[in-house]
Amino acid sequence: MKSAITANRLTDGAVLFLTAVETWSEKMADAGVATDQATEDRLLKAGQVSAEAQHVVDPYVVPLIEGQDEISPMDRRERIRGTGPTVQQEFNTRRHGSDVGAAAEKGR
Amino acid sequence: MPILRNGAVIEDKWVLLDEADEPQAGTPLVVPSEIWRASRDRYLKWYGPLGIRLSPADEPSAIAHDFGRFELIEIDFPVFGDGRGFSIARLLRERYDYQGELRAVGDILRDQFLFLDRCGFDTLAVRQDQVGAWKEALSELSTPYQAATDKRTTVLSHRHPAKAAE
Amino acid sequence: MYRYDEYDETLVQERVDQFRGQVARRLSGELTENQFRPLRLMNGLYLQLHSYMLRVAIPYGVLSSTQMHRLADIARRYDKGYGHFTTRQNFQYNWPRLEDTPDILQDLADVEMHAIQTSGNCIRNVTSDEFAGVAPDETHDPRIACEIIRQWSSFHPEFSFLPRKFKIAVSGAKSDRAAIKVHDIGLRQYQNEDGETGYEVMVGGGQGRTPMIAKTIRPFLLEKHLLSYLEAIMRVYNRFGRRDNKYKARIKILVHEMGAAAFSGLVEEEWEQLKDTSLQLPEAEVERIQSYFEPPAYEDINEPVASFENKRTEDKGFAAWVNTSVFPHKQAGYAAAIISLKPIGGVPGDASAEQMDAIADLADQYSLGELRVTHAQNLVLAYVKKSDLYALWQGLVEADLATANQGLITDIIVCPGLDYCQLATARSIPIAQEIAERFADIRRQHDIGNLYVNISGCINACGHHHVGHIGILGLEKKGQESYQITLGGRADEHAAIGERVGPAFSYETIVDAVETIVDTYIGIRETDERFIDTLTRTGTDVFKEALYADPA
Repeated sequence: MKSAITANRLTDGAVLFLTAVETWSEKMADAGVATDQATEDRLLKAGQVSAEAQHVVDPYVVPLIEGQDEISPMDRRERIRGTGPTVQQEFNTRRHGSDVGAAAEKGR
Repeated sequence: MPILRNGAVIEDKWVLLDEADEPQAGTPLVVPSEIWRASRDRYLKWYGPLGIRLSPADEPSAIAHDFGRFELIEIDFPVFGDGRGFSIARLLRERYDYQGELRAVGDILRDQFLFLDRCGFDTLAVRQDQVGAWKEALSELSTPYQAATDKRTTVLSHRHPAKAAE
Repeated sequence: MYRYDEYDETLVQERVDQFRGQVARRLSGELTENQFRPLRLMNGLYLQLHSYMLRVAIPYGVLSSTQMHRLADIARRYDKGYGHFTTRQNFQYNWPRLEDTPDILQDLADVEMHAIQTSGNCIRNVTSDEFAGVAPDETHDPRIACEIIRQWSSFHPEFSFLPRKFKIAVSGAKSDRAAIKVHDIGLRQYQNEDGETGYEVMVGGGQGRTPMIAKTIRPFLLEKHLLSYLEAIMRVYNRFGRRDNKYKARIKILVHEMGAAAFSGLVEEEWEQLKDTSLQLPEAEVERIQSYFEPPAYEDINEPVASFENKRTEDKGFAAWVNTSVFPHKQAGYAAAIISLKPIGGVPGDASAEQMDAIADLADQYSLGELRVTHAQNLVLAYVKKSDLYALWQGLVEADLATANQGLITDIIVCPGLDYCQLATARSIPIAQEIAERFADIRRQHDIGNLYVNISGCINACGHHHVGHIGILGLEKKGQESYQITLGGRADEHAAIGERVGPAFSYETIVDAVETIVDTYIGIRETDERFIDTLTRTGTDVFKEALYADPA
């Protein structure tokens, strides 16, 4: 197994990932990766404690693609959530390409 | 749960009927509507004050002929998002002219107090932490657009005072 | 347009103050997310895929240039400098901060705007015809009924916790440009044989996973009974609509399961008790509201307008824009102009703060400072003198807003899809962009002619795919985005739900499939026959054969 914990920051809604030392980061690459159930449980618990303290909203587990170094969620939804809309970061700039994380997909 | 009337906590004398352990005669008794339907004759003769608890699926017209017997009608809100009770309350008050106490029970939120008041409820069974919220909750919107059961002056009657006086 | 009086203003201000309190209680931890969610939703604030999202109401799609400037200001100050016009004539910010939302709502309230009832299981923003008040085929201005309904439905104490959301649309013209037959309630205003004004009342239309065309439950309702009849419908729905299953909770399911006749019977019975109550609006109030929608002081202008006709022959670019983007007007010498928010390769319905400012300035210059939002996610200037059209067009060219594609294949209706939306199952915007790129050649678009492509990123159908001539529904199958095609849907007075043609297409093949459909149409159409008319004549088989023939 391979997973990470994500949530949204309460004050501004930003997508956050829980690091290995139980702090939050806006970068998916900073996520603390759990490769066993005990670690996942510990991290999720830390996320929930943070939610109860009203730092974040709705923490949950994101399953990651195994067998590769980079952190990439299994679900397309989570990949888009982690990296932003595939259409425009700046207004009116176009982006083509058929899929987010298409390369990651091949690694499955 | 504390019972609020006009924002003040009042003493709750009522007991909800538990058939297995029927309270003694004279106790102010609230009969759930399904028991009322099955054993109406028995509880019509209840010695003491009588009330009924309606579920959101109940048909108000079905009990209208017994209004003379009820001092209290409770309407249950099983979850706060189930808004059927608002319609039932208005029907009881406006269509069937029920004059007794009308109480909202169940999962009701502070942010619904005003709407409950507007639909004709006069007492609310509220969560302990919401007891103090009444005054603020009711003053959050001062003049409503539309008429309801309550007697608040509407925007319309402000705009056209002559019409409202008719 | 309607302007707030002190009572409207007070209510909206009170709502801002109330929400400021609620946000403060949330930030302090007094409210949990579960407790806060229904409260924020009642003010149009969602937590989406990447961020919060705030939906601002644009009542029946009408806004002033001042309000448009304010939307732009807010986009710059509190968001990423752009926003999105929706298929329900509303506006969305994709990246607001929770902490800022009370200030945003205050900024909106200062220009008579709000986010009230743009979400939640209540009566939502009433939608209407973008050409209200100016369309030649209009018999009654629907904005008056819309405003009456807006006020009646705002903070309604009985109907704020309905089984599900509730959408009303009003039209007062021969052509239906408000898609009234796919709304929970559709009202068609007309005059009967006795010369009385009233409404045909249609109930139970809708899209989503069970698309349905509304049924007429009352062919004619006198104007004065509007609110009592609506209240009767709402009460029947509130009491008897299903609450056991979210997907069966819309009024269309109640009408369908009960039968339109039985449903109508219940409504009529309820209405008998309500019709002579205070729900009948005083004449004075109707007149008061009406007075805001009186026609402006038009100039007397003789047709044809020579300068306009000359420019049209001189300038091909202008002529092409006029052909698609200028709509006829009641008043001689005037026209309504559509501003396309569908640049090739852009995000349909999005506008940058700079564009919004430019549009607002053009509205001030050429259209009495007023704008309309269309359900096709474009904008309309409704009061342009024909003699000003050329200058307006030049202004639009400068702001990169002169795409001449209204009603053509690249004028695509599309929901935000998986790029933004929590509920989506597939992306929809990139599909729209790729279709637009494929058909970018404007001559080709004109040759294809009128064709509505509507795309939704999930079964909830915010992209109106069921009523697109070509509808595309994005789903997820085994981790892959896949796209189902429907054909023959339409949202006009001949409203129909599209028919599914067969197995879904992949992200990579969906654009080819659309092209196959278009090429098939080109091959079999008769002279001047629109896509939808060819389809009606031939049926879908010929298209299915083309789509699912043995791959070469």
